[in-house]
Amino acid sequence: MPRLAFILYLLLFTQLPAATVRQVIGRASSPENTILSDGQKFTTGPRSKSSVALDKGFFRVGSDTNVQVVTSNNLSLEKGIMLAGSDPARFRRTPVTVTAPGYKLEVKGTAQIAYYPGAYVKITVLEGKVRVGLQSLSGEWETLEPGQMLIINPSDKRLPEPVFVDISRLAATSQLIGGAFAELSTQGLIDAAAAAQGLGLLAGDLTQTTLRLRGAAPEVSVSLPNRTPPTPPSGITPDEASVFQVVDDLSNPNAIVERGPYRDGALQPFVTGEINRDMQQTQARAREWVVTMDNGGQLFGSITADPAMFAGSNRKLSFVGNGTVEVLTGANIRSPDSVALNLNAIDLIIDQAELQAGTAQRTDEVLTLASGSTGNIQIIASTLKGGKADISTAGTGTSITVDDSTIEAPRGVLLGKSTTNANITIQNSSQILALLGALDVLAQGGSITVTNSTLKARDKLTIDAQARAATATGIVEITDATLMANVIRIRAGANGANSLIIDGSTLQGISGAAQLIKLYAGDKATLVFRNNVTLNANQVHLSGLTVRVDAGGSVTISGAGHIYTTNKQFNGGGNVSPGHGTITAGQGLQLHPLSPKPAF
Amino acid sequence: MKNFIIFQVALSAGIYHLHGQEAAPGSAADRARASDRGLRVAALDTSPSVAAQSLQPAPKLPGDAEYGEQIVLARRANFEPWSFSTDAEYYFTDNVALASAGELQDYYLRTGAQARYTNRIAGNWFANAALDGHTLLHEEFDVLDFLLIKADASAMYRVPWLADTFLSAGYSGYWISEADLTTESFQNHAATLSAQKIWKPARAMQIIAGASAEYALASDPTPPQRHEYSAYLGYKLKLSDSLSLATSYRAALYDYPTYDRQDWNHVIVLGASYDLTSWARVSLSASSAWNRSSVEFFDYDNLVSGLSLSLYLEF
Repeated sequence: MPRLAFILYLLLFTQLPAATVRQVIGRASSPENTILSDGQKFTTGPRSKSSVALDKGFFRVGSDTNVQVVTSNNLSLEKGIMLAGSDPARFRRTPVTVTAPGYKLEVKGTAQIAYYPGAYVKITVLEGKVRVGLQSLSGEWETLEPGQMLIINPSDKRLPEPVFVDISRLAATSQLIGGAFAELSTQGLIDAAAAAQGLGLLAGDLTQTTLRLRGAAPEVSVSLPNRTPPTPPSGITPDEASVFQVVDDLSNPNAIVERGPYRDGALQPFVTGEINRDMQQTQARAREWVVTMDNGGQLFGSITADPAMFAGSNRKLSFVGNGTVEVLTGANIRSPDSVALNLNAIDLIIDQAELQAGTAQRTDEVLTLASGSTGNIQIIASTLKGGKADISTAGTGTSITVDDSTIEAPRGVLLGKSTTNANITIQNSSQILALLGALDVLAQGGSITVTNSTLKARDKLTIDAQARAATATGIVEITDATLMANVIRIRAGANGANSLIIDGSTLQGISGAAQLIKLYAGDKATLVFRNNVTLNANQVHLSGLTVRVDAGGSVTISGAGHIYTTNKQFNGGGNVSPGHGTITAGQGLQLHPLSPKPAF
Repeated sequence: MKNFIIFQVALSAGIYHLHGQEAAPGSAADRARASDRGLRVAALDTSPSVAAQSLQPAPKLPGDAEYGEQIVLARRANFEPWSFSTDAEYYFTDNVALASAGELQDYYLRTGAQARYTNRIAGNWFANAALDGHTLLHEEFDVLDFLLIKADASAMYRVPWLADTFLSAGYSGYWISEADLTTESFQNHAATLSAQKIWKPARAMQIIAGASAEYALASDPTPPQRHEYSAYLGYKLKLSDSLSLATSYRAALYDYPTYDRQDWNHVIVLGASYDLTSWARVSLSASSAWNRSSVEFFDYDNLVSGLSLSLYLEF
């Protein structure tokens, strides 16, 4: 009985902590595991993010954000970006209340909020409901549904009409969801809301516009220009240029089993999605069907193929162009179940399109993009899916650009080749995901740049600009990126100054610490850290002729750190180097000579 | 006389509710506004130039890019022109016969269904049609039971230069049964003219004002026939997504052409409603009516209060 009474006493009279700091990436006013009391303020520094647990919810904040925990589940946002959510409940969710001067939000779901005093408030609902009210006018409130976004100007005396935005895209590109953070308690509900929205898109109740807003600011940052139809190459009539052929390459490689106008070339402007193509079986089955595009061409609309067209192993649906092949805005190209999808051209441009190999992300559902010896591959604002993804160019000085795009291939992603001197750029909120396998970004002596993007792999994540040639001058630069894998290895060329630059990024495991991180500049090169870099791993190996942390920067290693270098331009591990930043390690930092060091 | 009492009761308990619906959200004018708004919102959402122009440059937060990317989606306007509703209401009345003296109390059950169609014809023109059937079954004075069937059809015009006031002209007819619910007791056919304006001082507040004239064209039997001229004012406040409060006042002049009789009828209603789902609602209401006639015998006061459950279907 006394024990029961004590428990009852605890339940009835013990005040639960208002909030607990769960995760700090970069700098924050309170470190991890701090209990924030009622009224306490919490702020983050530049390029920093944090996650805080509430009694019945949570919030995450981005860079330079000021928030006050008024009481548990009651927050005051003074400036910055916040993700606020109420924990799921069987019957009734306890709301998390967020106030900003002039505004009150009651969050029964998950919402992302940006508040710039005197400029704007932006609220986007990822799941659940959020009631948004003006404090200046009683009765002026609106309940937002999943996918709805409201941007309020301080001069607005009434709430504006909300608009709908793509939940999936926002969830994929928000740095407060996923990334270095643990999974949200509401992630399943966000997925469900995104799926429901996807059904709306399929049913035609929702359609994607060309309007995009990047970041918290309210401007429409991209409004795509109208395209003009390309002029066919000289000497070829529009009809000839716009014909595609499906060839049965097993029974009769020269037999044309289907032929028809694919587009009308210059005869009339095309309308995105107006002409769809569903390839049907008309003759024998084949292991591979090849759509040949003389002199290159354009793919648009929905392109699918009947599964009955395929037989045997290594099934493929291929598009081959002897020139530039553009996959145009709104195009959606899919191969059937257990069929790989290949696009092979001199130059390959995929612009605001979707490519998907197979339906179940199996190992044999490989998405391959390949360009010629002088051609490049550009993937812009597109989504690529498959069991595996293999994207490569063939010649020196060629480039692969992944811009504002998602590549999702659970079984493994290979970007570039270990034998090709290419320049690979991954930028602008791109995501490359290999959640069941490995992710390799390879360039022999070229450059690899990852900026403001997320790369995830379950096993190994390798970024290697040195590849096979040990004397190559490959450069790797990782800026404001999140890299997640059990083992992360990054290597730059053997020669050259500043060959490997890590700037303001987080490297860690999929959930928590990675097993091993290796960052190797060449033996005649410099490994450079800038701003706040988090290396969350049990073992971290850093190597370079010079290892430098630029002034104002810091490298935080959660586990044991080993540095193999000759020139120590950092503070930490007993080394003092005025004018440089610091390296700290939670389980000790040991300094070693440059050689010998563990193999890459 | 019995027919006349039934007629009075019907006017109070049956037609009154229909008038109440004219002033409430869900009325033809309100649905026309929704239809029009849906179309306009869709046009706004799908117009890059309009959306782009509406967004002014603003400073960026230090972590601006952390917010992620928002691709704007356009939602197809999904106004549903057809609506069906059914309801069951249980009321207490302190003057079941609407008598000037010797008032009698009773309880009654009002059940019925309504079908309504509202849609845009072209431009600012809208079409509206409704069919309504309701029974009133009294606990004690079942001699006053009746079935009321009412049909309306009208054309509505939104007047932009009158701040989107809706004008409506059309036909309204109703049939009232005897207590056996089958034998016809009275029927009336009238031409209607109305004007209604809705203000929204805040998103959760709504003020409705309107006036209507209902000119009886034919009736059978003729004597109870009357012309109605009324004005009303209503206020609705949403306390939450589900809970709303509403009050309204209606003043009407009833002119009985076959008698030398004019009545001034006043009704005040207070109500609270709770949306159980998007298609079910429970309501509590209380109304007070007082009728002052040029013939003193027809003066009466009446208080009605009760609970209702309504189910809706739109497609």
